[in-house]
Amino acid sequence: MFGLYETAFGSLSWGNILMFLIAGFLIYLGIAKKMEPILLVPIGFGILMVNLPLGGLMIYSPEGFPAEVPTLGGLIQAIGRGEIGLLNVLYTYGIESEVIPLLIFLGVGAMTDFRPTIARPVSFLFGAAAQLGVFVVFIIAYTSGLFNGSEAACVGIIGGSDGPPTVYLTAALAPRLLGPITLVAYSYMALVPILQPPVIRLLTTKKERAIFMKPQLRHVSKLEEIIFPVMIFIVAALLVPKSVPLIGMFMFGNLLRVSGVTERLAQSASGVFIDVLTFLLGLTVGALMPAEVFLTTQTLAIIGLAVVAFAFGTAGGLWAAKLVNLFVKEKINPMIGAAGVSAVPMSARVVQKMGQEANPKNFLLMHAMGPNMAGAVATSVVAGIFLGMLM
Amino acid sequence: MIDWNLVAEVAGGGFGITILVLIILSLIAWLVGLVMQKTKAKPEETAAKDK
Repeated sequence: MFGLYETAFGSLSWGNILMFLIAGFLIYLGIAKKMEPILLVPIGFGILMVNLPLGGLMIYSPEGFPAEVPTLGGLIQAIGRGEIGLLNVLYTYGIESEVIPLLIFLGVGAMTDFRPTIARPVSFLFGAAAQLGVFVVFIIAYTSGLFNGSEAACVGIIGGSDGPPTVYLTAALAPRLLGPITLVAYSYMALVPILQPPVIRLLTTKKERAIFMKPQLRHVSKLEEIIFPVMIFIVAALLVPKSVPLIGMFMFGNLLRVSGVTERLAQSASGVFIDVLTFLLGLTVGALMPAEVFLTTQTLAIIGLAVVAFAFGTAGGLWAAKLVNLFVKEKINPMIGAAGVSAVPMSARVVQKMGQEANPKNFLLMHAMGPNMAGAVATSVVAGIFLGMLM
Repeated sequence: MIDWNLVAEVAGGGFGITILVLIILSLIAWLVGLVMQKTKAKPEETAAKDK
Protein backbone atom coordinates (compact mmCIF):
# COMPACT_ATOMS: atom_id res chain seq x y z
CA MET A 1 0.00 0.00 0.00
CA PHE A 2 2.72 2.49 0.97
CA GLY A 3 4.50 1.79 -2.31
CA LEU A 4 1.55 3.38 -4.10
CA TYR A 5 0.62 6.02 -1.59
CA GLU A 6 3.26 8.58 -0.68
CA THR A 7 3.16 10.70 2.50
CA ALA A 8 5.38 13.73 3.04
CA PHE A 9 6.86 12.61 6.38
CA GLY A 10 9.86 10.92 4.80
CA SER A 11 10.83 14.09 2.95
CA LEU A 12 10.61 16.44 5.94
CA SER A 13 13.89 18.02 6.98
CA TRP A 14 14.87 19.81 10.20
CA GLY A 15 14.99 22.96 8.11
CA ASN A 16 11.33 22.48 7.13
CA ILE A 17 10.36 22.02 10.78
CA LEU A 18 12.23 25.19 11.78
CA MET A 19 10.40 27.04 9.00
CA PHE A 20 7.06 25.75 10.38
CA LEU A 21 7.98 27.33 13.71
CA ILE A 22 8.90 30.62 12.00
CA ALA A 23 5.63 30.52 10.03
CA GLY A 24 3.67 29.80 13.20
CA PHE A 25 5.41 32.69 14.97
CA LEU A 26 4.55 35.10 12.14
CA ILE A 27 0.92 33.99 12.09
CA TYR A 28 0.85 34.38 15.90
CA LEU A 29 2.32 37.89 15.68
CA GLY A 30 -0.23 38.84 13.04
CA ILE A 31 -3.29 37.41 14.80
CA ALA A 32 -2.52 37.70 18.52
CA LYS A 33 -0.31 40.80 18.53
CA LYS A 34 -1.95 42.47 15.48
CA MET A 35 1.49 43.25 14.00
CA GLU A 36 1.03 43.99 10.27
CA PRO A 37 -1.56 41.15 10.12
CA ILE A 38 -2.49 41.94 6.52
CA LEU A 39 0.98 40.82 5.46
CA LEU A 40 2.37 38.63 8.20
CA VAL A 41 -0.56 36.18 8.13
CA PRO A 42 -0.33 35.49 4.36
CA ILE A 43 3.50 35.43 4.50
CA GLY A 44 3.38 32.95 7.39
CA PHE A 45 0.93 30.73 5.57
CA GLY A 46 2.97 30.99 2.34
CA ILE A 47 6.01 29.74 4.30
CA LEU A 48 3.95 26.77 5.52
CA MET A 49 2.79 26.01 1.98
CA VAL A 50 6.26 25.96 0.47
CA ASN A 51 7.88 24.02 3.31
CA LEU A 52 5.49 21.10 3.19
CA PRO A 53 7.43 18.65 1.01
CA LEU A 54 5.93 17.30 -2.22
CA GLY A 55 3.10 19.85 -2.12
CA GLY A 56 4.11 21.30 -5.45
CA LEU A 57 2.67 24.78 -4.98
CA MET A 58 6.07 26.36 -5.64
CA ILE A 59 8.73 24.38 -7.46
CA TYR A 60 12.39 25.39 -7.18
CA SER A 61 15.30 24.85 -9.53
CA PRO A 62 18.40 23.10 -8.09
CA GLU A 63 20.07 26.55 -7.88
CA GLY A 64 17.38 27.73 -5.45
CA PHE A 65 15.38 29.91 -7.84
CA PRO A 66 11.65 29.48 -8.51
CA ALA A 67 11.27 27.21 -11.55
CA GLU A 68 10.90 29.08 -14.80
CA VAL A 69 7.31 29.46 -15.94
CA PRO A 70 6.76 28.67 -19.64
CA THR A 71 4.81 30.95 -21.95
CA LEU A 72 1.02 30.94 -21.60
CA GLY A 73 0.60 28.19 -24.20
CA GLY A 74 2.51 25.61 -22.18
CA LEU A 75 1.44 26.82 -18.76
CA ILE A 76 -1.42 24.44 -18.07
CA GLN A 77 0.53 21.40 -19.24
CA ALA A 78 3.50 22.41 -17.07
CA ILE A 79 1.26 22.67 -14.00
CA GLY A 80 -0.32 19.31 -14.89
CA ARG A 81 3.11 17.68 -15.19
CA GLY A 82 4.12 19.13 -11.80
CA GLU A 83 6.98 21.16 -13.32
CA ILE A 84 5.62 24.36 -11.79
CA GLY A 85 3.00 25.21 -9.17
CA LEU A 86 0.32 27.87 -8.82
CA LEU A 87 2.62 30.07 -6.76
CA ASN A 88 5.29 29.89 -9.48
CA VAL A 89 2.74 31.47 -11.80
CA LEU A 90 1.84 34.17 -9.26
CA TYR A 91 5.53 34.87 -8.66
CA THR A 92 6.45 35.13 -12.33
CA TYR A 93 3.47 37.15 -13.52
CA GLY A 94 2.88 39.12 -10.32
CA ILE A 95 6.19 39.84 -8.66
CA GLU A 96 8.99 39.12 -11.10
CA SER A 97 7.09 41.19 -13.64
CA GLU A 98 6.76 43.93 -10.92
CA VAL A 99 2.98 44.15 -11.52
CA ILE A 100 1.84 43.53 -7.92
CA PRO A 101 4.16 45.95 -6.05
CA LEU A 102 3.42 48.71 -8.53
CA LEU A 103 -0.35 48.26 -8.35
CA ILE A 104 -0.15 48.14 -4.55
CA PHE A 105 1.66 51.49 -4.68
CA LEU A 106 -1.23 52.86 -6.77
CA GLY A 107 -3.57 51.85 -3.96
CA VAL A 108 -1.24 53.38 -1.36
CA GLY A 109 -1.30 56.65 -3.34
CA ALA A 110 -5.10 56.59 -3.27
CA MET A 111 -4.95 56.34 0.52
CA THR A 112 -2.33 59.06 1.02
CA ASP A 113 -3.11 62.56 2.23
CA PHE A 114 -0.26 64.84 1.13
CA ARG A 115 -1.65 68.01 2.72
CA PRO A 116 0.82 68.00 5.65
CA THR A 117 3.72 67.68 3.18
CA ILE A 118 2.33 70.44 0.94
CA ALA A 119 1.80 72.72 3.93
CA ARG A 120 5.44 72.30 5.05
CA PRO A 121 7.61 71.50 1.99
CA VAL A 122 10.77 71.27 4.14
CA SER A 123 9.34 67.84 5.04
CA PHE A 124 10.96 66.61 1.83
CA LEU A 125 14.37 67.39 3.30
CA PHE A 126 13.59 65.28 6.36
CA GLY A 127 12.35 62.46 4.12
CA ALA A 128 15.61 62.63 2.15
CA ALA A 129 17.82 62.75 5.25
CA ALA A 130 16.02 59.74 6.70
CA GLN A 131 17.37 57.72 3.77
CA LEU A 132 20.77 57.88 5.50
CA GLY A 133 20.12 54.42 6.93
CA VAL A 134 19.69 52.99 3.43
CA PHE A 135 23.13 54.15 2.33
CA VAL A 136 24.94 53.35 5.59
CA VAL A 137 23.62 49.79 5.43
CA PHE A 138 24.52 49.56 1.75
CA ILE A 139 28.14 50.28 2.74
CA ILE A 140 28.14 47.81 5.65
CA ALA A 141 26.40 45.05 3.69
CA TYR A 142 28.65 45.40 0.65
CA THR A 143 31.93 45.68 2.54
CA SER A 144 31.01 42.70 4.74
CA GLY A 145 31.54 40.51 1.70
CA LEU A 146 28.22 38.72 2.30
CA PHE A 147 26.39 40.63 -0.42
CA ASN A 148 27.26 41.95 -3.86
CA GLY A 149 26.48 45.58 -4.76
CA SER A 150 22.94 44.92 -6.00
CA GLU A 151 22.06 42.75 -3.00
CA ALA A 152 23.52 45.31 -0.59
CA ALA A 153 21.31 48.01 -2.12
CA CYS A 154 18.24 45.84 -1.57
CA VAL A 155 19.22 45.17 2.05
CA GLY A 156 19.78 48.89 2.55
CA ILE A 157 16.41 49.94 1.18
CA ILE A 158 14.72 48.15 4.08
CA GLY A 159 15.70 51.33 5.97
CA GLY A 160 13.36 53.33 3.75
CA SER A 161 10.61 51.43 5.52
CA ASP A 162 8.29 51.39 2.56
CA GLY A 163 7.04 48.02 1.26
CA PRO A 164 6.35 48.44 -2.46
CA PRO A 165 9.68 50.17 -3.36
CA THR A 166 11.52 47.47 -1.37
CA VAL A 167 9.75 44.65 -3.22
CA TYR A 168 10.10 46.44 -6.57
CA LEU A 169 13.85 47.01 -6.20
CA THR A 170 14.60 43.54 -4.82
CA ALA A 171 12.59 41.77 -7.53
CA ALA A 172 14.70 43.64 -10.07
CA LEU A 173 18.17 43.48 -8.49
CA ALA A 174 18.25 40.50 -6.11
CA PRO A 175 15.23 38.20 -6.64
CA ARG A 176 16.89 35.43 -4.61
CA LEU A 177 16.70 37.62 -1.49
CA LEU A 178 13.11 38.74 -2.08
CA GLY A 179 11.67 36.46 0.61
CA PRO A 180 13.88 37.41 3.57
CA ILE A 181 14.11 41.10 2.59
CA THR A 182 10.33 41.52 2.24
CA LEU A 183 9.69 39.60 5.45
CA VAL A 184 12.22 41.66 7.42
CA ALA A 185 11.02 44.95 5.89
CA TYR A 186 7.38 44.40 6.83
CA SER A 187 8.17 42.90 10.25
CA TYR A 188 10.43 45.80 11.20
CA MET A 189 7.84 48.34 10.05
CA ALA A 190 5.59 46.89 12.72
CA LEU A 191 8.47 47.22 15.20
CA VAL A 192 8.97 50.96 14.60
CA PRO A 193 7.36 51.85 17.98
CA ILE A 194 10.08 49.75 19.64
CA LEU A 195 13.02 50.64 17.37
CA GLN A 196 12.70 54.43 17.09
CA PRO A 197 12.18 55.77 20.66
CA PRO A 198 15.64 54.75 22.02
CA VAL A 199 17.38 56.40 19.05
CA ILE A 200 15.26 59.54 19.42
CA ARG A 201 15.99 59.72 23.18
CA LEU A 202 19.70 59.20 22.57
CA LEU A 203 19.99 62.00 20.02
CA THR A 204 17.68 64.67 21.50
CA THR A 205 17.48 66.46 24.82
CA LYS A 206 14.24 66.62 26.78
CA LYS A 207 14.16 70.36 26.01
CA GLU A 208 14.31 69.66 22.26
CA ARG A 209 11.58 66.99 22.50
CA ALA A 210 9.38 69.50 24.33
CA ILE A 211 9.59 72.20 21.63
CA PHE A 212 6.01 73.35 21.08
CA MET A 213 4.56 73.50 17.57
CA LYS A 214 1.22 75.14 16.78
CA PRO A 215 -1.25 72.32 16.16
CA GLN A 216 -2.65 73.86 12.95
CA LEU A 217 -0.84 73.61 9.62
CA ARG A 218 -1.69 76.17 6.90
CA HIS A 219 -4.78 75.54 4.79
CA VAL A 220 -4.06 73.69 1.53
CA SER A 221 -6.41 74.47 -1.36
CA LYS A 222 -7.97 71.79 -3.54
CA LEU A 223 -6.08 73.10 -6.58
CA GLU A 224 -2.76 72.71 -4.73
CA GLU A 225 -3.68 69.15 -3.86
CA ILE A 226 -4.37 68.41 -7.53
CA ILE A 227 -1.26 70.13 -8.86
CA PHE A 228 1.01 68.43 -6.30
CA PRO A 229 1.01 64.81 -7.59
CA VAL A 230 1.28 65.91 -11.22
CA MET A 231 4.18 68.30 -10.55
CA ILE A 232 6.04 65.90 -8.27
CA PHE A 233 5.69 63.11 -10.81
CA ILE A 234 6.94 65.21 -13.74
CA VAL A 235 9.94 66.64 -11.88
CA ALA A 236 10.93 63.35 -10.20
CA ALA A 237 10.54 61.52 -13.52
CA LEU A 238 12.82 64.01 -15.27
CA LEU A 239 15.45 63.89 -12.52
CA VAL A 240 15.36 60.12 -11.83
CA PRO A 241 13.76 58.37 -14.82
CA LYS A 242 14.07 54.90 -13.27
CA SER A 243 11.72 55.97 -10.49
CA VAL A 244 8.89 56.59 -12.97
CA PRO A 245 7.04 53.28 -12.40
CA LEU A 246 6.98 53.74 -8.62
CA ILE A 247 6.35 57.47 -8.38
CA GLY A 248 4.02 57.34 -11.39
CA MET A 249 1.75 54.78 -9.75
CA PHE A 250 1.95 56.48 -6.35
CA MET A 251 1.06 59.90 -7.72
CA PHE A 252 -1.60 58.56 -10.10
CA GLY A 253 -3.32 56.88 -7.16
CA ASN A 254 -3.14 60.16 -5.26
CA LEU A 255 -4.58 62.11 -8.19
CA LEU A 256 -7.56 59.75 -8.23
CA ARG A 257 -8.09 60.62 -4.55
CA VAL A 258 -7.80 64.40 -4.79
CA SER A 259 -9.31 65.12 -8.22
CA GLY A 260 -12.81 65.14 -6.77
CA VAL A 261 -14.29 63.43 -9.84
CA THR A 262 -12.82 59.93 -9.55
CA GLU A 263 -13.97 59.03 -6.07
CA ARG A 264 -15.21 55.60 -7.17
CA LEU A 265 -11.82 54.77 -8.72
CA ALA A 266 -9.98 56.01 -5.62
CA GLN A 267 -12.26 53.95 -3.37
CA SER A 268 -11.69 50.85 -5.53
CA ALA A 269 -7.92 51.37 -5.62
CA SER A 270 -7.70 51.81 -1.86
CA GLY A 271 -10.21 49.06 -1.02
CA VAL A 272 -10.67 45.53 -2.31
CA PHE A 273 -8.16 46.11 -5.13
CA ILE A 274 -5.20 46.72 -2.79
CA ASP A 275 -6.41 44.03 -0.38
CA VAL A 276 -6.39 41.31 -3.06
CA LEU A 277 -2.96 42.36 -4.29
CA THR A 278 -1.59 42.49 -0.74
CA PHE A 279 -2.56 38.94 0.14
CA LEU A 280 -1.28 37.67 -3.21
CA LEU A 281 2.00 39.44 -2.47
CA GLY A 282 2.15 38.05 1.06
CA LEU A 283 1.38 34.51 0.02
CA THR A 284 3.88 34.53 -2.84
CA VAL A 285 6.61 36.15 -0.73
CA GLY A 286 6.04 33.50 1.93
CA ALA A 287 6.45 30.86 -0.75
CA LEU A 288 9.87 32.32 -1.55
CA MET A 289 11.16 31.03 1.76
CA PRO A 290 11.80 27.29 1.59
CA ALA A 291 14.23 26.20 4.32
CA GLU A 292 17.23 25.81 1.98
CA VAL A 293 16.87 29.38 0.68
CA PHE A 294 15.88 31.12 3.93
CA LEU A 295 18.14 29.49 6.53
CA THR A 296 21.41 31.14 5.54
CA THR A 297 23.91 33.56 7.07
CA GLN A 298 22.63 36.16 4.61
CA THR A 299 19.18 36.06 6.22
CA LEU A 300 20.69 36.51 9.69
CA ALA A 301 22.75 39.42 8.39
CA ILE A 302 19.63 41.02 6.86
CA ILE A 303 17.82 40.77 10.20
CA GLY A 304 20.71 42.53 11.97
CA LEU A 305 21.40 45.13 9.30
CA ALA A 306 17.75 46.20 9.19
CA VAL A 307 18.05 47.44 12.79
CA VAL A 308 21.07 49.53 11.78
CA ALA A 309 19.13 50.89 8.80
CA PHE A 310 16.21 52.00 10.98
CA ALA A 311 18.54 53.54 13.58
CA PHE A 312 20.51 55.59 11.03
CA GLY A 313 17.33 56.55 9.16
CA THR A 314 15.85 57.92 12.38
CA ALA A 315 19.11 59.71 13.16
CA GLY A 316 19.31 61.24 9.68
CA GLY A 317 15.82 62.72 9.97
CA LEU A 318 16.55 64.09 13.45
CA TRP A 319 19.85 65.68 12.39
CA ALA A 320 18.17 67.31 9.37
CA ALA A 321 15.50 68.85 11.60
CA LYS A 322 18.18 70.12 13.99
CA LEU A 323 20.04 71.62 11.03
CA VAL A 324 16.91 73.41 9.82
CA ASN A 325 16.41 74.79 13.34
CA LEU A 326 19.71 76.67 13.01
CA PHE A 327 18.18 78.80 10.25
CA VAL A 328 14.53 79.34 11.27
CA LYS A 329 12.97 81.64 13.88
CA GLU A 330 10.04 79.39 14.74
CA LYS A 331 11.78 76.21 15.94
CA ILE A 332 10.70 72.80 14.71
CA ASN A 333 10.47 69.90 17.13
CA PRO A 334 13.37 67.75 15.79
CA MET A 335 11.43 64.56 16.42
CA ILE A 336 9.25 65.23 13.37
CA GLY A 337 12.40 64.63 11.26
CA ALA A 338 12.48 61.07 12.57
CA ALA A 339 9.12 60.46 10.90
CA GLY A 340 10.95 60.74 7.56
CA VAL A 341 11.48 56.99 8.02
CA SER A 342 8.19 56.53 6.29
CA ALA A 343 6.55 53.47 7.99
CA VAL A 344 3.22 55.26 7.55
CA PRO A 345 1.69 56.08 10.02
CA MET A 346 3.63 54.29 12.78
CA SER A 347 6.63 56.62 12.97
CA ALA A 348 4.34 59.70 13.01
CA ARG A 349 2.45 58.10 15.91
CA VAL A 350 5.73 57.46 17.75
CA VAL A 351 6.60 61.16 17.40
CA GLN A 352 3.12 62.18 18.57
CA LYS A 353 3.37 59.95 21.65
CA MET A 354 6.89 61.05 22.57
CA GLY A 355 5.99 64.69 21.93
CA GLN A 356 3.08 64.48 24.37
CA GLU A 357 5.27 62.78 26.97
CA ALA A 358 7.77 65.64 26.79
CA ASN A 359 5.17 68.41 26.56
CA PRO A 360 1.50 67.50 27.10
CA LYS A 361 0.41 70.61 25.15
CA ASN A 362 2.09 69.33 21.98
CA PHE A 363 0.10 67.72 19.20
CA LEU A 364 2.71 66.69 16.62
CA LEU A 365 0.84 64.07 14.59
CA MET A 366 -0.01 66.27 11.60
CA HIS A 367 3.46 67.85 11.64
CA ALA A 368 5.03 64.38 11.58
CA MET A 369 2.76 63.13 8.79
CA GLY A 370 4.47 65.56 6.37
CA PRO A 371 7.94 63.96 6.63
CA ASN A 372 6.22 60.55 6.82
CA MET A 373 4.70 61.00 3.32
CA ALA A 374 7.85 62.71 2.02
CA GLY A 375 9.77 59.64 3.18
CA ALA A 376 7.63 57.45 0.91
CA VAL A 377 8.49 59.68 -2.06
CA ALA A 378 12.17 59.69 -1.04
CA THR A 379 12.35 55.88 -0.88
CA SER A 380 10.90 55.65 -4.39
CA VAL A 381 13.53 58.12 -5.59
CA VAL A 382 16.27 56.04 -3.91
CA ALA A 383 14.93 52.87 -5.57
CA GLY A 384 15.13 54.66 -8.93
CA ILE A 385 18.69 55.84 -8.21
CA PHE A 386 19.80 52.31 -7.25
CA LEU A 387 18.22 50.90 -10.40
CA GLY A 388 19.93 53.53 -12.52
CA MET A 389 23.33 52.84 -10.93
CA LEU A 390 23.28 49.09 -10.48
CA MET A 391 21.07 47.56 -13.15
CA MET B 1 37.32 42.10 -3.51
CA ILE B 2 35.66 45.33 -2.49
CA ASP B 3 35.21 47.91 -5.22
CA TRP B 4 35.63 51.15 -3.27
CA ASN B 5 34.71 53.21 -6.34
CA LEU B 6 31.33 51.51 -6.35
CA VAL B 7 30.91 52.25 -2.62
CA ALA B 8 31.73 55.92 -3.16
CA GLU B 9 29.57 56.19 -6.25
CA VAL B 10 26.49 54.44 -4.89
CA ALA B 11 26.60 55.52 -1.24
CA GLY B 12 28.10 59.02 -1.60
CA GLY B 13 26.68 59.86 -5.01
CA GLY B 14 23.36 58.15 -4.37
CA PHE B 15 22.72 59.91 -1.07
CA GLY B 16 23.83 63.23 -2.54
CA ILE B 17 21.46 62.87 -5.49
CA THR B 18 18.62 61.86 -3.15
CA ILE B 19 19.10 65.01 -1.07
CA LEU B 20 19.35 67.17 -4.18
CA VAL B 21 16.24 65.70 -5.83
CA LEU B 22 14.17 66.05 -2.67
CA ILE B 23 15.36 69.66 -2.15
CA ILE B 24 14.23 70.43 -5.71
CA LEU B 25 10.85 68.78 -5.00
CA SER B 26 10.46 70.80 -1.80
CA LEU B 27 11.29 74.04 -3.63
CA ILE B 28 8.69 73.24 -6.29
CA ALA B 29 6.05 72.41 -3.69
CA TRP B 30 6.89 75.66 -1.87
CA LEU B 31 6.73 77.71 -5.11
CA VAL B 32 3.38 76.20 -6.14
CA GLY B 33 2.03 76.95 -2.66
CA LEU B 34 3.32 80.52 -2.81
CA VAL B 35 1.76 81.18 -6.22
CA MET B 36 -1.54 79.64 -5.11
CA GLN B 37 -1.67 81.73 -1.95
CA LYS B 38 -0.85 84.95 -3.88
CA THR B 39 -3.43 84.30 -6.60
CA LYS B 40 -6.01 83.50 -3.94
CA ALA B 41 -5.17 86.63 -1.98
CA LYS B 42 -5.47 88.97 -5.03
CA PRO B 43 -9.20 88.47 -5.80
CA GLU B 44 -9.95 88.86 -2.09
CA GLU B 45 -8.07 92.20 -2.03
CA THR B 46 -9.93 93.40 -5.17
CA ALA B 47 -13.27 92.40 -3.65
CA ALA B 48 -12.40 94.29 -0.47
CA LYS B 49 -11.45 97.42 -2.48
CA ASP B 50 -14.73 97.25 -4.48
CA LYS B 51 -16.70 97.35 -1.24
